[in-house]
Parts: sequence; structure tokens; C-alpha cells
Amino acid sequence: MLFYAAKRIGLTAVIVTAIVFTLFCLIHLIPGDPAAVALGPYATPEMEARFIEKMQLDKPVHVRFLSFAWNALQGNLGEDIFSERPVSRIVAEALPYTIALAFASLGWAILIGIPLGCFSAAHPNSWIDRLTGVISIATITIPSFVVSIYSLLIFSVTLRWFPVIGAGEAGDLGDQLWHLVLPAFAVGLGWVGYLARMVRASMLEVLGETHIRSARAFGLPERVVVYRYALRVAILPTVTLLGMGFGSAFSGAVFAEIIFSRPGIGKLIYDMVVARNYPVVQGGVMTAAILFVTATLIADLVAAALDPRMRANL
Amino acid sequence: MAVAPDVPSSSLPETPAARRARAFWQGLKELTRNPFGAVGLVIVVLFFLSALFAPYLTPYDPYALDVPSRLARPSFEHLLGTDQLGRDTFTRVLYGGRIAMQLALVAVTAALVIGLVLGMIAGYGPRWLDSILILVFDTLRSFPTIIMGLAIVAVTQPSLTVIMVIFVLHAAPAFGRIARTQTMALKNTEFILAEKSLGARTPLVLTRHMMPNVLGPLLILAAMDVPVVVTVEAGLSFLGLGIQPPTASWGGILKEGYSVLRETPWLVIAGGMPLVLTTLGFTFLGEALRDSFDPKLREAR
Repeated sequence: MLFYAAKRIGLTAVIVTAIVFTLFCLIHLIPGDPAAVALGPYATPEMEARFIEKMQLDKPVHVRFLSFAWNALQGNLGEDIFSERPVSRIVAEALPYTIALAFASLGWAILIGIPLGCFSAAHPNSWIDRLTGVISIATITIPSFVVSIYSLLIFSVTLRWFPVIGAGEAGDLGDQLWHLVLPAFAVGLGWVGYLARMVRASMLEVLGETHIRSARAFGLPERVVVYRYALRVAILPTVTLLGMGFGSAFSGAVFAEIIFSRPGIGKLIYDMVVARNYPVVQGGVMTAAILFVTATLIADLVAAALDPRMRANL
Repeated sequence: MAVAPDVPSSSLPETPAARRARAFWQGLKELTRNPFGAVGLVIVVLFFLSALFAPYLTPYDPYALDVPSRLARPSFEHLLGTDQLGRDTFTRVLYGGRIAMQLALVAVTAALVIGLVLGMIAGYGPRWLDSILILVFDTLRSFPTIIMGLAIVAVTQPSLTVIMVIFVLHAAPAFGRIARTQTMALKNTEFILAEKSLGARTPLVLTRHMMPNVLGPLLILAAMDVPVVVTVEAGLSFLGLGIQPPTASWGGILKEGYSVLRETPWLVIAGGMPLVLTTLGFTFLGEALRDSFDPKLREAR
């Protein structure tokens, strides 16, 4: 396990370095004059000179990369070119909204998806199983921003059950949760289907194994066999999947945050792309990607700790 | 032994080509017997036909303004109503389908070819090259798709080409991974070893003998990836960072509809429905294809 963990963490470190390098290239090797592109047509020569100095555009590329990586390592992601606030603080302010959304989305997907998958596997080819199959595929494929817009249309604009925009009053937990319902519904919906499918598939496999046959032969009630014995083993592949789910919830969050005007990291990146505020875009994208990789790492480590067989495939 | 002329051809041993053709038709028959496969196939065919024949299916010009009748409800005159500038929404949905079709064909093919080539190189080539390619694949996959898209649009101007690049960067690693695994599994099979011992050169072994065997699973993944590229395009266009107006696209229609959501629901319904149908159609088809042509892949996703 220790060897696996070391190898897996080492691999993650390499990928994180590659991510930082990729983003550095993307932003710093913009074709044309980065200062002119970033500052727009109304920039004065003084603004341009200051921008060049701040972004170290007069230094050679490798110097820029090393100082960029060194600063990023210390949590210094540069400064917003317009407001001159540290990017790390801007990102840190947006992050809790996105993390809350990601957890809420995955949370309800787990609560509904896993029991649904178990039930389908315990009653294969029943009408609930077939219905679950179709709904799963449908919810997995329908783009989450379409779900967001349609739920906004149905539940906020037409029925007026939920608030239309914003994240709720600061400090008012109830209000904030109320504002979280629709975005979490939209982002998590696809995962309900995905989890149900995964759990069903791995559950069917486990239910065919000998220890389950023994449990049945001992006369244990079916409910105990399925939910206490089989689920324990069948849930393992899902753990790995949840790490990925966290990352894809980030992707879905971009749309949900824009559509419902939540001040999270997805909306931040989008607003800054539109404003061409590169340091913030860079810091936001890097944070999102590194969180994604870390979530996958944690999920893999948990899965490996729970199931020694996982340690073999690296 | 000479074959007597009166022996019916069916008793002759099948040629490999004939066997492959028979397997294909059998798979296709099985596909249409599966209700979801059939529904998926119908939607996909409709998608291509409506995109190809868009100009003949509607009397309107997708760019013709008619401001007095803006935001009209659906009627016989305007099947899906009109948008803010009075343009016929049904017409714009049809023309938006053309953009989606172009992307589906070009971007998915590009991702497949790039993934295939890189994956086969990784699987067949030296170990250090394999490690580098895997690192590249994994790094690309560790950016959430739309966030990577935003980062790329940030430094370029939004265009159809940029959407394609974003999709290829997102999708090619998945093709590459599968191609690599398949190539590795094939590398030491007997027929490849036999080819090599007969003196076949590496390029010939790779293209003539390995590629046909690697390609199958990739084609199924390609069908499954069409919804992804259509979604990426619509998503970016919805954000105003994809297809630029006045060109009609489904995401663009959604964007407009979102801005007038309190006045009329018809624009978001018209922009969203073709997206839902297309993604469902291609996924149903892909799933059915996988079930009838490649049972091994059934739970591999």
C-alpha cells in the first residue's frame, strides 16, 4: 500500500507540474503582443510598461517559467491586472461556492443513484430496472446547461418555487441552501444515472460470487445479502469514480454558476475570460485542474486502501 | 483438389472478406431489433438529413430580419416562433444543425485519427515514448473540459476551428488510451509475430494488420463522442465564446432565449430540444452498436 501510495502521489506531482507548465505556455506565449491583447486598445504607454514589468515580459522565457512556478508553489498566483488584488485571494473567495455546489450535487446523486443501482441489480429486468436504465442514459447524456436552463424556466420563472439568481444572503444558511437546490439538481442529475449504472453493473458481478451464494444458503434475508454483504464490495469501483465526479462537477458548475449567477470559480473564470484578465484566468484554471487531480488522487488512495486488488493496476 | 462446378457456393469455405461482411449485416440486424438502437438510428439519420437539406425544408432565410413580428409564439407560419429580431426559429434550428453536423464529422474524425496514431505509437514504440505520451494524455484529461475550453478561448478568438481544437484536445487522449491498450494486446499475438518473422516491415504490420483490429472499438467510441462535441459547441456558443452571431447555432439560440426567458419560453425550448434529441440519439446508437458489435466493451466504460 505504501509503495502504491508513493507511486500514485509521485505521478500526481508530475501531472501537476505538467499542468502548471501547460497553463504557463498557454498564457505567456500568446501570439502577438500580450500587453496590447490584455490591456485593450485604450492602454496608455505607462500602463503597458507597468504591465510588462509586472508580468516580467522583458525576461527570457525560462526565467519567467521558473519564477512563475516558484510563486505558484508558494500560493502566489500573481495579481489581477485591473484591481491589483492578489489572484489567490480572488480565487479563494469564489472557491467555497463551487465546492459547496460540487458536494451538494454529488451528495444527492449518491443518495439517489446508489440505492437505485442496488435495487436494479437485485431485481434485474423488472420494470423499475428497465426504467432506471433508460433514465440513466438520458440523464447522463443531456447537457447539464440545458438541465439548468430548463429547471430555471420551470421551477423559478414559471412556478416560482425557487429563487432565480444569486447564492443567497451571506450569513443566512437557510437562504443559501435554498439557492443551492436548483444548481445542485442540474449538476448532479447526470451523476444519478451514472452512479446507478455503475453500481448496478458491479453489483450484478458481485451477486454472482460464491460468498454471496453462501450467505443466501445460510438463509439470510435478501435485503441483508444485497445491502450489507454485496454492496460493501460492489461500492468500491464507485469510490474511484467519485473522484472523477468531483472534477466533472466543476465543469458542470461553470454553466450552473453562470446561469444561476452564483459567484463561484466557474463564473469567475468565465467573467475573467470575457474581460481578458489573464492572471485571474490562469490562477482559476490552475486551481480547478489541481483540485480535480487531487480529488482523483484521494479517491484512488481510498479505493486502494479499501480494496487491495486496486493497487495492482497503476 | 478441384471444386466441382455444381457445388453450391455456400458450401465453399468463406473468404475473410465475406465473413466480415456477414458479421456486419448480422450486427446491423441485431442493432435494429434493439428498440433503443432503432430509435437512435432514426434520430441520427434525421439529424443528418435535416442538416443536409436545411435550405429545402424551410421557406425562410435564417438571417432575414422581421422585427415587427419579434418573439412570436409558434404558429403554422413560424413552427417554433421567432426570435428577438423576428427571424424564424425553426429555420435557425435547422441551420444550427449544420454547424453541429460539421463538427460531428470533422472534429470526431480528427480526434479519432490523432488518438489512433498516437495510441499505436505509444503501444508499439519504445517505452520512454510510451511514458511521455501517457503523461501528455493524462495531463490533458486532468483539465475539466469546459474550463480548458475557456482557457483556450481566452487567448484566441472564438471560432469553429477553436471549438474543434478544444474538442480534439479533450477527446483524442481517450481514443489514444484505447488504441494503446489494443496495440499492446496485439503486439505479441501469433499472427503479428508470424507477420514479423516473415519479414514484414513495421509500417506494414502497423497499418495493414494491426490498424483494422484497433479501429473497431474506436469507431464505437466515436459514435459516443458526437454528443460530447455537440455539447461542447453548444455550451461555448451559449456562453458567447463559440459560434458567433449572426451564424445560427443551437447554443446561440439558447443564449438568446436565456436573455428573454421572462418574456417567452419558446426560444430556450427550441434551442434545447434538438440538443437533447441529438445527444440521446447518438448515445442510444452508440450503446446499441457496442452491444451488437463488441460485447467485450459492454461494461468497460
